[in-house]
Amino acid sequence: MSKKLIPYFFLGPALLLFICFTVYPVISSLILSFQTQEAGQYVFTGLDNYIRLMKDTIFLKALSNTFIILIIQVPIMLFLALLLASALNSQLLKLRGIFRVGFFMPAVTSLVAYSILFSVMLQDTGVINRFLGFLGVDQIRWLSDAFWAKVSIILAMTWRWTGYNMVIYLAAMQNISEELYEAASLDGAGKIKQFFYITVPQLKPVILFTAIISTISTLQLFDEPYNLTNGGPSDATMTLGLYIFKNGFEYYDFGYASAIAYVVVIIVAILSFIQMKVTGDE
Amino acid sequence: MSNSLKQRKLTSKLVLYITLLAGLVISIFPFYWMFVGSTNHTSKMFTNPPTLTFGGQFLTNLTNLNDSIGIYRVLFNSLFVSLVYVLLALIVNTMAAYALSKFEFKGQKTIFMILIVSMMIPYQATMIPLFKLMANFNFLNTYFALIVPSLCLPFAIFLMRQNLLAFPTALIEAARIDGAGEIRIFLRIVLPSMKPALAATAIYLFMAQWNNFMWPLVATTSNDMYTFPVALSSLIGISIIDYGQVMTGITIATIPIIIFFLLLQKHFIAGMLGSSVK
Amino acid sequence: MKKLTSLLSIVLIGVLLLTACGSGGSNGAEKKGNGEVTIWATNINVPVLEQAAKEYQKDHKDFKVKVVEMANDDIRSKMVTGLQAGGKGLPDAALLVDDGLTGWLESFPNSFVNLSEKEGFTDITKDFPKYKIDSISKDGDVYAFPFDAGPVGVFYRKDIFEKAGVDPAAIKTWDDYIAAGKVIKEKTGTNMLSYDSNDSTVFTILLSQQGFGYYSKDGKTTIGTKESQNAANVFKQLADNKTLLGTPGWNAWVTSLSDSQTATAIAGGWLVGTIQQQLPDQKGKWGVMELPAFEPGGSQSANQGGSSFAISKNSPNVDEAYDFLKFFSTDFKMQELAMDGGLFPSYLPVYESDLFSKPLEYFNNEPVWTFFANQMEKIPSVFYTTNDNLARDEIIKVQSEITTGKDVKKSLDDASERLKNREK
Repeated sequence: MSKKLIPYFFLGPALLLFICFTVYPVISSLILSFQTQEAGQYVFTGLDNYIRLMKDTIFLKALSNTFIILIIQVPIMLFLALLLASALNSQLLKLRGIFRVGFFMPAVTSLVAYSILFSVMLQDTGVINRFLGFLGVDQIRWLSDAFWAKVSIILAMTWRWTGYNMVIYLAAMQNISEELYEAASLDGAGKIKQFFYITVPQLKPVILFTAIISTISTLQLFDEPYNLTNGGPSDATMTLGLYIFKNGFEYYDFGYASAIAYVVVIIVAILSFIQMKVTGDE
Repeated sequence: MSNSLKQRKLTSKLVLYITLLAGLVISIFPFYWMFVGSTNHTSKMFTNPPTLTFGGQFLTNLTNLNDSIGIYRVLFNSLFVSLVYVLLALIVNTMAAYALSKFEFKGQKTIFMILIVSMMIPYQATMIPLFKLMANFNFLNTYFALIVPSLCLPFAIFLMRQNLLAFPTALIEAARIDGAGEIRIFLRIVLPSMKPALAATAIYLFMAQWNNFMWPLVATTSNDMYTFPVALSSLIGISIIDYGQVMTGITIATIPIIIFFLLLQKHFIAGMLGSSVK
Repeated sequence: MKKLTSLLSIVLIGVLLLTACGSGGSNGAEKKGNGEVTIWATNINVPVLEQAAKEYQKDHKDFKVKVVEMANDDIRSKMVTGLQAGGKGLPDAALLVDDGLTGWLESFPNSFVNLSEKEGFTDITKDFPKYKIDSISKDGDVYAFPFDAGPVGVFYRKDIFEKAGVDPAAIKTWDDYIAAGKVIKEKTGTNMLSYDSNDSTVFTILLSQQGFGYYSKDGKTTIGTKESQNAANVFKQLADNKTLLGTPGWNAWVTSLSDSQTATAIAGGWLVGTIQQQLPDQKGKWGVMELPAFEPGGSQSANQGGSSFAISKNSPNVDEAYDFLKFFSTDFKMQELAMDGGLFPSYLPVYESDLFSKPLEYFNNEPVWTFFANQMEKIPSVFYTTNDNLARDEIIKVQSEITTGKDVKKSLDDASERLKNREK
């Protein structure tokens, strides 16, 4: 085998699959985004779908909702995951294995099960409000108030994915040398100082990795709003992922749905690029 | 003084444990509730507050579930599709990650960037063309359609690449000087030290495939090809839904992932970022 | 190591062969003329269809059917995918919900068989209520075999009504209903109505009771009309009296019933099956009455839900599917079978069956099914369009706005305005 061809040999199978099953459908749907359906046939309409997008208030609302959720949820979740990972990384902690599996469980618990449970518990007269009422807190309209519905979505997402990110951080922490902590301890730095001055900087590449992955999945957020609020009340929890789905499968407008999808792709690409630049990673 | 210090340490430890335990309860509560649901009659599903005690209906639910969806066939489909997928995807994506991390060639950066950007495309947008493709080649309702389209998974390439970057290139060069072939180097020198990373990726792949819903739903056209999520979804009627069956099914469907996680978690913890190279 | 590698490659080759060949042979409608009719249907329909096929095979030895069970949402996703892909991967026939069928007929013309072109089909239609036939027709042609229906009733809790001293028989109009709700709330603390606030079913019922869908025949939306204001006012007044409970989603709604948080539930007759299954403890506590009218003597009937069998135009087995479904839809015994299986058929002759006059133990031995059967001929026809899904979206927003204080007229006009920008 010629030396030059070796990397292509290793890359070949993946590339071939990628071209057949990703590139081809992507180009296909990209073309679709410049088309619209008339009497059952797709016809080209140039940039119409994209122009319509700029004036579509629901799209703009979905965009802003998605960003609000992104900006609030991702940092909270990643910070919590970091804290949990630091706690579970301590050799002194008992029952680490149980905690590890337990916190990871939400990521594998069935969506069907938890969406039924959450929608039942979070309704106006649900068990959570009853408990809060017991503590003297007024009834919170968890899923039917514009503000609280967003909070509920954020809580549900955080519940589901914190443990997953924690596991990624735990893995990365195995790479941080114990000596760093020992030296810091001798210098009199407390646990909190150690967390901010050793753990966080050392984990920077992984934090970036999880931030990018979380950004991508939040921008495609679909499961929670679809199951808990159906995008309501009044589009307060409409997300880009849900809006794409609705346009395709409920309004039968795949051309428009594709246009939304590619606008999202451009936005995420720009965001990820900025994230990489800001954190100064290659 | 030392006494009060001890006391303070003890309280902070206590606080830590209580917080962690509270978090643990919140984390596993829906799972527990689902398990409770699988042992109760469907009418216990919608009580307020939720039913939290086990009932004696598990076997009834299990029998009914088996009558409705045929557990063995569905379990076989899911296991076969997921395990084959994990095996093939590990090979394909690890090879790609190896090429992208340990070689320098034309188009390398561009290919990597394209792969990463492709992760951002919502699946809803590409599903219809992919479906058309499968239909044109008569692949609908085959294992091929369930496994092959998602074999090249950029996330897995990304993850493996992160790990491979940490692998010392000097080792590879030394082997080359010793006259080892490229495939041999990959299989014998690189792969063995990648076990933790492979385990981590395997769990991710297994989870993704096992829980995959939308694609298997559209790609299968008969009950005997259904995977677990699709079969469970078929239990949902317009007005009549036996939640006892649904919860039993979900419980059964969750167990394999947990087993998979428990088996591989030691590697997983050590493997996410290539700490194995020592 | 070498052993391992060779073992691995053998496994791999085997696996590749297996996946490539797949389980083959089970490609449903894809294979030409194998005579096997594939039908997609939701859970309780499956055993009924299979039973019917057995019966049918007695006279048609070569007939084979494969009924594939799937959720209604899944049927929609798969149908839309197949229709988008130019009719690929579709079954020979599918059980489709009526209010969605028209949208598909408009968005995907030439995808379903026009049954009116078949000889003798028009004779069949006279055995079904007019509203049902109208709901599956486009431009006068019928595109599906009518099957089950959802005649609406107000399900009410007898015990709660009694405790509050309210006589259900005295509720004739929506004003009476709203007034009764006030009394019930004062006396028992229970809400008059809980509804799924993620959906628009109750609003749709109130509109269709007045003979309207979300569009009138001239293509204008009914959102903003007097009828829609009537419907919205019911919500508004119930909310103002604090007797309305919105629950997010079906599951939460069923919980509100099981938790006795509401004195009434407004739904199609199929709710009988749901509450018997989910609320066994409330046996004997439920009764059913007609919808209140908007004005004395006005319409008290509506339909919610119901589905019909459409045949895919691409199917290689159109004739086989047609003959079987004709048998199924118009055979007395088959429709009795469906009734017995928990479905409410729309085939009018079957209401003569003893099954309908049978008292239901759960409902204090009242013949609840007779009540619903009597509704069938009174239900007004409603016009459906492909834009209905958009209109429903906007109505869900209206529900949320008016129950939190926004003016009814303003909310409806805004919704109508938003809808205009979204229409196809």
